[in-house]
Amino acid sequence: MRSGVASDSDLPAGELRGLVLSFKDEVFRVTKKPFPEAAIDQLRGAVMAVFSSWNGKRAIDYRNASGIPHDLGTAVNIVKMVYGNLGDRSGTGVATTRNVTDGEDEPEGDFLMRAQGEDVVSGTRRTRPIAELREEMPRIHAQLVRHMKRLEKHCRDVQDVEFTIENGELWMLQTRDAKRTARAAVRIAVDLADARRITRQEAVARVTPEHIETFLHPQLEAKSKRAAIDKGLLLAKGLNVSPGAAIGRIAFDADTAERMSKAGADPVVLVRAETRPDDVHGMLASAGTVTTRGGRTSHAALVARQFGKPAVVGCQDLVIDAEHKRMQTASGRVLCEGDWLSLDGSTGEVFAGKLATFVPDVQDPYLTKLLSWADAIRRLEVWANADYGRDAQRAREFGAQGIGLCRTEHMFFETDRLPVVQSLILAKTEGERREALDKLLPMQRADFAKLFEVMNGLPVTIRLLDPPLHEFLPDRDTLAAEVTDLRARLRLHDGDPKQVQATLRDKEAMLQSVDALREQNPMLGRRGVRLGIHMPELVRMQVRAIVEAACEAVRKKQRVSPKVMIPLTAISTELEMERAVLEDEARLVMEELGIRVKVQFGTMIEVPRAALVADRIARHAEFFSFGTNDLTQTTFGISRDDAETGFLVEYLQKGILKTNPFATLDVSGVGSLMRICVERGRATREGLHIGICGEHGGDPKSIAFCHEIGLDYVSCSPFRVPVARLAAAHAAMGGKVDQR
Amino acid sequence: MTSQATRILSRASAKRPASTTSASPAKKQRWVYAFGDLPLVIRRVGSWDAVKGLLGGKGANLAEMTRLSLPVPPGFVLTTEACNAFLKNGSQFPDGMWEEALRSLKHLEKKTGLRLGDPQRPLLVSCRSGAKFSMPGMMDTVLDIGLDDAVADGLVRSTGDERFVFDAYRRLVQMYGSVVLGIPSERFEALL
Ligand SMILES: Nc1ncnc2c1ncn2[C@@H]1O[C@H](COP(=O)(O)OP(=O)(O)OP(=O)(O)O)[C@@H](O)[C@H]1O
Ligand SMILES: [Mg+2]
Repeated sequence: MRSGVASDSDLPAGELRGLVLSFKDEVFRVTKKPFPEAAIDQLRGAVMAVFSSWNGKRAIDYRNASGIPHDLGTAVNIVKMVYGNLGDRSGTGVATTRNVTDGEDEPEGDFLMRAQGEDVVSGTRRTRPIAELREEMPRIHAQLVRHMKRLEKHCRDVQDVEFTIENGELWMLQTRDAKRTARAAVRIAVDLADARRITRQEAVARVTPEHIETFLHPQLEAKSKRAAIDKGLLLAKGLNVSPGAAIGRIAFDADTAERMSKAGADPVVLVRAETRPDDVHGMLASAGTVTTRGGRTSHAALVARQFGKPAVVGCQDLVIDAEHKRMQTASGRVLCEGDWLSLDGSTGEVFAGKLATFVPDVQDPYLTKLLSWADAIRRLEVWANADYGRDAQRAREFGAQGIGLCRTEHMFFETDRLPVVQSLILAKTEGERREALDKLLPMQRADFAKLFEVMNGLPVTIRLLDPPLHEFLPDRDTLAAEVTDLRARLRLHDGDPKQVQATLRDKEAMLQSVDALREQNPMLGRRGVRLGIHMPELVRMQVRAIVEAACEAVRKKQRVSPKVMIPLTAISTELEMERAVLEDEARLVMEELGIRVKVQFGTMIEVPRAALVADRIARHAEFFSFGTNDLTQTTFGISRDDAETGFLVEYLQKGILKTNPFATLDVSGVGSLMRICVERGRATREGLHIGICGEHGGDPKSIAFCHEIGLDYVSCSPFRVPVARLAAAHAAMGGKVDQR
Repeated sequence: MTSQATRILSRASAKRPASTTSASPAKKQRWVYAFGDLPLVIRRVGSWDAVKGLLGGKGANLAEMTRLSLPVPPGFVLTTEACNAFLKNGSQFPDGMWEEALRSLKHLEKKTGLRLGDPQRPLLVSCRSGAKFSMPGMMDTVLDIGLDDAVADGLVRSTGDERFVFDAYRRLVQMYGSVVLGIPSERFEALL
């Protein structure tokens, strides 16, 4: 910039006059036509250009990204100019009626004296906080605040206004509902409802599941962000495709990202023009991903969301020079591999350097209040999946009303237990087996006792052992290699032969069992209820542990509500048989202890057949719980692991699938089965209690469907409980919000 | 605030007068409304949502602020329907639109006592985009339309602020140059 002035408006009049001339010359040079002098021609040209800008590339990209239809068109507003750049008592500014960062009820904004239009937002001049307007022009300030209050009240939401002061006179140039952070959205909704400006229902409707989600992810600190913006460290803005903040050192390719993250103590951010399937390992190794191309359904966006990694895509202002491992921003700044980068996947901002982060408080009093209003609206109960007392504790803090899934296999994998589980599997005699079970029993009992204690009378659904047994044994290839190795050592007299011999015998026995248990297709093999039918002692032990723990709780005057859940049922007879065994064990325990507790027996619905014969299955089940992960796999005939690391993204990009069916319930296929199941199950057993305990239980769209087909509860991971509470309320309102 | 639950919250349904009649096909197509015409627009299209659809969010809210007697500079709106017709027509204004716009301009001139292109009492206007849903900064706006050399000199005489006038003038040339004539802004900035 010339003459050392801070900005163009500070140029003296003479220079401005000269500038007009050289600008006009430039116009002539480029267009070979003079600048149109006739005012009416200017107006016509401007109207045409603004109409046309609806189909400009920027606008089209924006609409694609935010799901705005392309056929709406733009209006054109012709407005008499008011002059914010006329004299010393003129100025212009923008303001919001409340603080849109934290939601505080305090107007916020910036202004400039002697300025026009875009000067305030363009960042060319240093703006002043709106509070200073009070000193500069107290009467105008008071008027502005009054107008803003009025608008907020009238529009029933926080407003974002543009104003101009011409010669000591205030003019309002625009108002619209203000954009805000998640934290502000929650607080504002609560404050407006408390002030009776909106109803509680509206407050709940105005907060989105995404807002709640940001309370669960680390965020960039607002102060640190503002400072970074002031220092010009905001490099680019792209699409906010996967929420949360990520900070790390830049890597420009997936292999480097993986190497850096393995080698160093510092996290990595992967920056690519776009990602492809062979970049996934790099994305997983990184804290977050930035791409310069691509939209909301680009590979990077889909993969990042799928794995819950923050990402910003389509940062067109960044130009990557992969060969030299560097990138350049629109302003010419260069960043190299290893430099720090901070990204905000919730807003799409990308910063140079290491910004401060914080994890918003899920116990935030405004959020707590809002969720309690949601609770009053929803019909679906929200339960949590929790395997341990500590998970159950967290689930309760987040508002869970029960445990919908306790996976007992996780307890079996603990290091002190795994050997016992293995000796159970390897047992040759009844005696050996008994011995192992006797060791496991008190451990399981203690697990369940803890859950009952924490849940204090709320339902606790415990799923009997589900996975194929080979999962508890060492990997076959490793074992085989070890056996070969030990045999060689024996031949070569390497080490103490007696010891080597003993180890070899153990390993050989193990290998034999592994081979014996080997199945072509373990996920469709002897697992779930089939395991219990095959090895009744095992599930009897589990039920004994459950009932003993429950009786003990009753003895201690605690309330308990245990539910025994049998996995993977497909045939009503297998359920009937299994249940008879389990009920027998439960009865035995109660007789032994002389205490009665109510124990419910139910089943998971995880294969299409179970859904189709639900009428018969319901005869033997006191509750159903959809395991929609397996149900989706078995309905599609798709293995989730192979799909998500393989062809799923291709299917999404080619539009064969609209959404990942493992993230959002496939309503037309899996959903139909669920609908049928609910109908038939309840035809047999009126009011049959039915829930869902797959990951879908925490997905808002899937929750809406569960509400629609009349489920009683959704069960999700403890962290998603707040999201599910809100989503269940939205589902209950079903688009009809009471405004009075 | 784009959740489905939010979108259905039309503040109009609670606050604004419900329409009594809806647009009948026989009614003559109108492309232009003044900010002061809001009651008429509501009568024609019914809901606030439809008002925003026709006038765009910015236009609807400017009209609404006018109705609340807040200090809004006067103006008028060329509707989104006009835009769509223009785009469909191979970038030709639909029949009658420009004449309607000129009539609205006349009203504006009468109301303000100023005239577009008149060096004695010049009216300057801005030409601002505004779709139904806010798309911040995605479309264009041109300020200070109506300046030429004669108007500039007249304005210097009447305001006595030469710096103001030429600041506005060079903004017009730059904005018009980039928005209407497609000359990259950087080429002007390079001249600064
Ligand atoms: N008639 C006017 N008098 C004075 N200033 C104006 C006038 N019209 C527009 N402006 C100024 O020009 C700036 C840009 O205009 P406008 O609001 O149309 O577009 P924008 O803010 O860039 O985008 P958006 O469409 O998101 O509002 C505004 O900040 C406003 O202050
Ligand atoms: Mg604006």
